[in-house]
Amino acid sequence: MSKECITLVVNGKTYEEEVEPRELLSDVLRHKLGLTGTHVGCEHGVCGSCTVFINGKSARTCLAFAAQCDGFEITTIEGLGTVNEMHPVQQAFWDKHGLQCGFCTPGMMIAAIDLLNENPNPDREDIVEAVSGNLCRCTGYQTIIEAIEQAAEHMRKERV
Amino acid sequence: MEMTDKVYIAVPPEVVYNGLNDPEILKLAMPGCEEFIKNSDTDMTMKIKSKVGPIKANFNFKVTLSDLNPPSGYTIYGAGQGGTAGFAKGGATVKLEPEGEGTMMHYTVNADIGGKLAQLGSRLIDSTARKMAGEFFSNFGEIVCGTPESGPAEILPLETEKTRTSWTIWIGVAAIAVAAAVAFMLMSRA
Amino acid sequence: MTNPKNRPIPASRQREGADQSFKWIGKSMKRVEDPKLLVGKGVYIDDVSLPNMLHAVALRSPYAHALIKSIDTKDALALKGVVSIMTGEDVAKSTGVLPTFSNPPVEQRCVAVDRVRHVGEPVVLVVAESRYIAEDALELIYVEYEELPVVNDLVEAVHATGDAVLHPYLGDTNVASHRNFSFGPVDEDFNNADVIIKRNLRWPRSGAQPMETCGAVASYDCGQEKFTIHVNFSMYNYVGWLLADTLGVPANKLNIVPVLAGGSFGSKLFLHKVPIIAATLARECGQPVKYIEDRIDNITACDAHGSDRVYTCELALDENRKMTSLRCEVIDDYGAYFQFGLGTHGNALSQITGPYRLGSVELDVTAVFTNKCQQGAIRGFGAEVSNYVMERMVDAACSELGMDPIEFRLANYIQPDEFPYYIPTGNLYDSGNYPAVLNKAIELLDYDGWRKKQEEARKEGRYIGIGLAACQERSVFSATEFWMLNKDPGFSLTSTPESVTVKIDQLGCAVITLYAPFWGTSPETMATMILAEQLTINPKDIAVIYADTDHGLPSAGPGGSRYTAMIAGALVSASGTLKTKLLKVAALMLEASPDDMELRDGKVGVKGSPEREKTFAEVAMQSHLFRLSLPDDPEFDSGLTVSSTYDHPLTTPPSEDRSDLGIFYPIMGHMCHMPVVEVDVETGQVKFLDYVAVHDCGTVVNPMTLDGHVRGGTVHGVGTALYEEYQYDDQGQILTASYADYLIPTASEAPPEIRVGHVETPSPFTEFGIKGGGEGGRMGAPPAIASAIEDALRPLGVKADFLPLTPARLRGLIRESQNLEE
Repeated sequence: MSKECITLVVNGKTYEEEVEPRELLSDVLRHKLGLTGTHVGCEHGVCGSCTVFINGKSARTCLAFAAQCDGFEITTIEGLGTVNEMHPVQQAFWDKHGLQCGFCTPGMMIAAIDLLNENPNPDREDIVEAVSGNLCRCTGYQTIIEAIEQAAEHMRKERV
Repeated sequence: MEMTDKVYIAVPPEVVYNGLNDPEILKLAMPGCEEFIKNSDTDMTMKIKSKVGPIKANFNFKVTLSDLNPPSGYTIYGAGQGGTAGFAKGGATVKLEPEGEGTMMHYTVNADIGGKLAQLGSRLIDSTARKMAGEFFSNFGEIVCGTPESGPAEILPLETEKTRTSWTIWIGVAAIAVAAAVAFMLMSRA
Repeated sequence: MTNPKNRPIPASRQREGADQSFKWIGKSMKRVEDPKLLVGKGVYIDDVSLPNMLHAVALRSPYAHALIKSIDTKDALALKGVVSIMTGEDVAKSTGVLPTFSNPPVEQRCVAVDRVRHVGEPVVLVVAESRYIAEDALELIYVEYEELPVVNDLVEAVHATGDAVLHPYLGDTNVASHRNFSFGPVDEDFNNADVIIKRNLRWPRSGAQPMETCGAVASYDCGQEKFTIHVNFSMYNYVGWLLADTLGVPANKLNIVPVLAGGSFGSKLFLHKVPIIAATLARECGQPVKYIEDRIDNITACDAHGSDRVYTCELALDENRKMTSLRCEVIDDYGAYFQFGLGTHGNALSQITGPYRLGSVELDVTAVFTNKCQQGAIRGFGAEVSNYVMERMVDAACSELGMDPIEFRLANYIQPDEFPYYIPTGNLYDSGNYPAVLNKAIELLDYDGWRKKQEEARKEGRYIGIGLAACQERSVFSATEFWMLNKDPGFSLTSTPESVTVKIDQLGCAVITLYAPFWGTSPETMATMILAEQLTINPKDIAVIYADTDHGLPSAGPGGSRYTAMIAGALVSASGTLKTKLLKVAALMLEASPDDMELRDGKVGVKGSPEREKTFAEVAMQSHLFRLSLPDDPEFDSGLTVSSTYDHPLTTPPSEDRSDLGIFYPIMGHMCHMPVVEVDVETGQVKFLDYVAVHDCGTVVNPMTLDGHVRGGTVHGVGTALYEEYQYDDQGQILTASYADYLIPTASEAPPEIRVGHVETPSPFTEFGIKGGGEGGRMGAPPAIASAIEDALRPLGVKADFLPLTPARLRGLIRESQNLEE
């Protein structure tokens, strides 16, 4: 298979990579760019572990070809915050025990931020719906919902 | 999977029967068919490229006809390997009865699929098989009767005489091949 | 104390009691594991990358049962980028059978030789420069199969013979094992029974399905003739050495390196096939090889499907409406292999009579082989099923006798003053207060309030139900459960240890080495909190690392809700020794007597003299590097590191005839789940209106993380009760091979709020009185939900005995009962 040269802007950094047209974005991010924070759980678009922001909208990297994203801006979990300066969603997940094994967490947090970008004041049902596309086997979801509520409140205060 | 049905076809049984035994016609009519070799009156080899939902399969089928009883019917059995997509096998019993100027075709189909086709495609197989059969009938009809008809072919369940329309002729003709198409594509779940 | 068997209670080895004022234990401290996970820096197996690493995939059987006639790989080998291809026969030249606890052993190989026994079983391995090329190569391999009869029904499997037999070398039968275990005067109790309740029950095959699959990255050093395998396998420091045997090398030529696991729920306890495949290929290719299951691989061939049982049960009650005896006849569909033997039934025997005072119990178990993926360890390991059985029988008794489910349970409970309590099987319940748990649940739920609402709802034609399940959650398993139900024991191991190493470094900070991995439980946080408690050291000054097998100490790892209780034991031992040395060295530095010294806030000082103290850093530096300043006594040798191994605090061997299974799972937690559901009779949909779960896990180290297991386990139980089933058709084709069909609860299916309550009856036998809680809500949610649905549909007489209660199935049951009415 012939390769294409593409550009990906990931977490603000520009990468130039040679990819086969069929290479998944998840594989390129994880194995070519070394950004292993985005996880692959099912490879068929159901579990949501692989979710990142592509041009500001949340998307499944296991269902995207890297070549489709030539020139796009991508934000992964590595671009959200650091251990010392966490994104409010990261901090809230920590405070509220919104993770146990951590495998679904990157995708879950992206889904949460996606919601809060659209709707800074979601009610519980909005939150449940927003994360119903992300499977978690560990937490039972309740503390994830609580974490997102806390993050929402914090982010609303910051905006003011 | 097991299915029993009957369809009316507005051409005599001999025409239907002969058409179904002509490998050139069948190869042209069958969607994705790349090869159709008649090894003998009862043995055929078929290569079909098809897609069921997310699964693309290149099938190699060995097809056997038995209980040949022209023009009244036969039994067909086929088993095919689809590489990593899995396998499909099945059979059908076809009976053609003259009715008026045409034919009433009775068929009973049994089919099993395995591997990824069963794992991922089971819910899609029904609709995919119908779509493929519909295409087949449309093509088959054009070829056998020599007059193109517009409109998509649809596999219909048993129709009453009152609702019969002219395009059901082509559907009916093609329905005979449902025995072959469905046998290879439908899932074995009751 | 009531002691039905008049058997002595072994002495307790507890050193730290529950009745203390704690600084750290009992606090909901934020997890120390989290920061790295939150910023995407956790290293899971697929994140591991070694130089020159190759990628492997398996060609898997599309047939459920077939002989392998021929394999043609030449086109695949010619594909550019393919490095090696191995068939089952190739693999068998260097690699033996996989380890198993069954006896006689049921042979399983990592790649099928001669015959495939379930859809998805590996038939050929391909190694290539990329996963993509390896998968391309799969298309170019031609395998000829000769189909054999498929067995997919467990009742049929009992009678199968000839070509339908999966393991002919074991005999002309698919019955893997048939055993009958009888404890106490079963026949007498049934003969004297006033009422006998009968039910048929079905527990379907479902599974762990963690979000991360299984995988391994293996390398072979041909200079040292040594394997290194990174793998998400939890019992690696316990039975990892068995893999060396399979690979044909001595155990000291195999190093297993742990990685973080993205969930396990038991399914990664005993990984053999996956690491053996990677290692075999690494040796063959002379380069590191990564082998990761994808989700379909995992669903079809994870070697970790759950119990798949059909029960015929009888419950005997005396004239006082007290339950006296339980008889269970069960057929269990183990799939194609038998890696844990009857372990899942042994496990259930630890608590088969529930929280009740039954005097006798009989279990007749037939294990059968079918052409499906084999069973493994799934959250509950068979005891979640017997919980379901016991509670369904209790509900049946209440229903048939017109008794109130709460009063009936209270009357049949083992009472708080009867502990430690031996149950008929020989296991011991260490402590408990079942009435307190039930009463707390009733109070939290506002049970009377919901009964009123239920009545009003019924008038409106709505179907609301309140469920109740009172279930045991045994914790801290003993190794005897792996073999004690085998006819001939086989490898009858009796150690179930857990180890820890604690180092205080030159600057006074602690490094804890754990010998079992993280899989979503909170081992680092538990260890940190307990060490902080014991040594007064600040959690910020504690780091936690994980050791490979080269540096390994005996550790069975997480599973059976054992980890926190066991690591606490190891830490109490290690910290005790460290504390002694700290006190002695500081005493020398301060010219005081060690008896006058104490640990306080990360310092060592003289009691009552706040100014006479040394920091840990000062004492540690002295211990490490100032040998000549300390006495000429081996206890002052340089360094401040202690390793400790803690064995099971309370276990005894089974009797020869197995009429007494010994004490094998005594640290007995308990739970009471009360869900409130509404059933839509038009659609069969079940909605949760409320959910209360009260758990007794003894002394709770971290309420926040424990609640996580209660809730997570409950939602897992929701899946088991309502949505999840591995379905096979009559040709053994698996129909639920992706998440489109295997339905894991999303946030929308989870109860909106699970209100958790705690009761603590500390164990007299574990450190601090800790009991395990990791298996959590899954132990009690399925029967509680079945109970709620039955309660909701009581006006229609629907019985909820067959799980999962999917909308379609419920609709069928409702329709059936409506037809009966007409």
